[in-house]
Amino acid sequence: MRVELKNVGFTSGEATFLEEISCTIEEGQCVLVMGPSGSGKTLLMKIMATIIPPSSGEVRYDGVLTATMSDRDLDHARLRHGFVFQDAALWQNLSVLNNLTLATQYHHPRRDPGEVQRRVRTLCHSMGFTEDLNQRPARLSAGERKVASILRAMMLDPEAYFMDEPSSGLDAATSDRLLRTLRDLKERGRTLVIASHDSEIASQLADWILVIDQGHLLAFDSVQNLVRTDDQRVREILVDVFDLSSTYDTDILDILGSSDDPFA
Amino acid sequence: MVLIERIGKRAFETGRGFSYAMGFFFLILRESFFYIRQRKSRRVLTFQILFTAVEALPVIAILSLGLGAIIIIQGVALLPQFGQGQLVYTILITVITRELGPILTAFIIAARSGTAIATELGNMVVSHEIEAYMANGISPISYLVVPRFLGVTISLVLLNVYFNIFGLLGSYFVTALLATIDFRDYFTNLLNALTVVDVMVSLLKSAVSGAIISTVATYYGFKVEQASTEVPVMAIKSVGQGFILLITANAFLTVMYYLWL
Repeated sequence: MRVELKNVGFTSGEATFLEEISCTIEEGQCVLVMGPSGSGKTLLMKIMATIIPPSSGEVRYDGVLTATMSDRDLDHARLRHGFVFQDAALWQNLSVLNNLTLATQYHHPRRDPGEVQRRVRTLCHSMGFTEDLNQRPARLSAGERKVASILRAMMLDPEAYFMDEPSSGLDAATSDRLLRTLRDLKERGRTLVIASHDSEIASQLADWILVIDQGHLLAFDSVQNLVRTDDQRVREILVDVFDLSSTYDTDILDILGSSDDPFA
Repeated sequence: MVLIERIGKRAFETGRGFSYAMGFFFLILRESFFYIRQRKSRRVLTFQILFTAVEALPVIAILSLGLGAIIIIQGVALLPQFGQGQLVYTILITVITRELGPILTAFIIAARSGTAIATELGNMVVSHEIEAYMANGISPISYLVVPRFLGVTISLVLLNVYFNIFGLLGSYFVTALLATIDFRDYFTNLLNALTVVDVMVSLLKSAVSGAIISTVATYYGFKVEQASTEVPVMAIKSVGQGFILLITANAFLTVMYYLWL
């Protein structure tokens, strides 16, 4: 699934949150969205996923302008991707199981329930999710809720994934499983757009990096090019988001340099 | 100049809000049509009817029984003094079936279910659950609003019938404890006073009221933007605005009834 943004902007009242953002995410690519807190990463991801319409500019899926799609077509276009929210955003009035199966039941009401159950079990096993699926999300920890949100996004095996801080709040073992899952998705040609400050994800998965600051696109380039950038602000942001206190060249190159061979 | 500017700005915002609300209403009507045609899961609709209609039965019963009894007691005591004893049945039909049945059930449901719907949807907006529905290709209008719209409308029509049954029939038994009224005379006179038009007008008022309550409640629920503190504010607004629209719509239909029939 190819996602194209052209001069995308977002304003609310007098405030401007995003300005003139253009980028093209090719099918099967893994793009890491980076920027300081409040820079507009989440908003940008939601606009990419057509959850929020932009105030200006256009979003295209495989060359088709989403703004001209009918409501039905837009719903179907959204089925082509999964979205993991920063705060999980599980439906509180449904059990965890229903959170995972609702979209399947809604879009494929005649699908064999046994097949759906098997899919749930397989996904839960892959992410090491062993909690009782009949309980409500409120009883889960923040990390478990995040895992459930990732599982929900994977249920329909979409072509693309938008993940907002997928590894935040996860313990080391679950983070490892997440990394393996993401690697598997990438191997299967899924498009991944991930807002994350996780250096493991950056080093092992990212093909391109999108750097955003105060609603402005500072850089959108391949990892190889970005590590050689002269832009001081981009360097500062990458150093900040990776929480490194030493020099750009040594540490960032250490982190991102291995992405030439992400599966090494 | 500042005052004119403020009035103009307010008028512009009201106009924009009205056109948005009308667009929202027509979107609900369109999605309701698809919902009925597609025969998708009725789980949310069933729960809405259960919550709106079934759980409101005791309140409606008490209210209609009391009201019916008061009208009969007052009518039987006062009207014969003016030689108009037979009018008690016409008054019962006019007051209970045509006027108070639809509006009182609507007030109860607006206060009870309207607030609940606005609060529930508002909280879902704050916790990004609405966005999660969209991200999963599930239209919030189709999945959340339409079942509530149909559920509240169907419930209100049913509750109005229930209100009438208790108000007209149940109140007889209450009154029979206090005064001697012939059972056969009572029902014969009541049915003579009741016309098909009365029933149709009453049901139409309930259906319109149900549509108003659910549309206003869901509209204000979705108007919550990001803070949980907005939720009670919008819930209060939905009740206030709902009451105003209910009174206006009921008055309009009553005027239409007297003008055309």
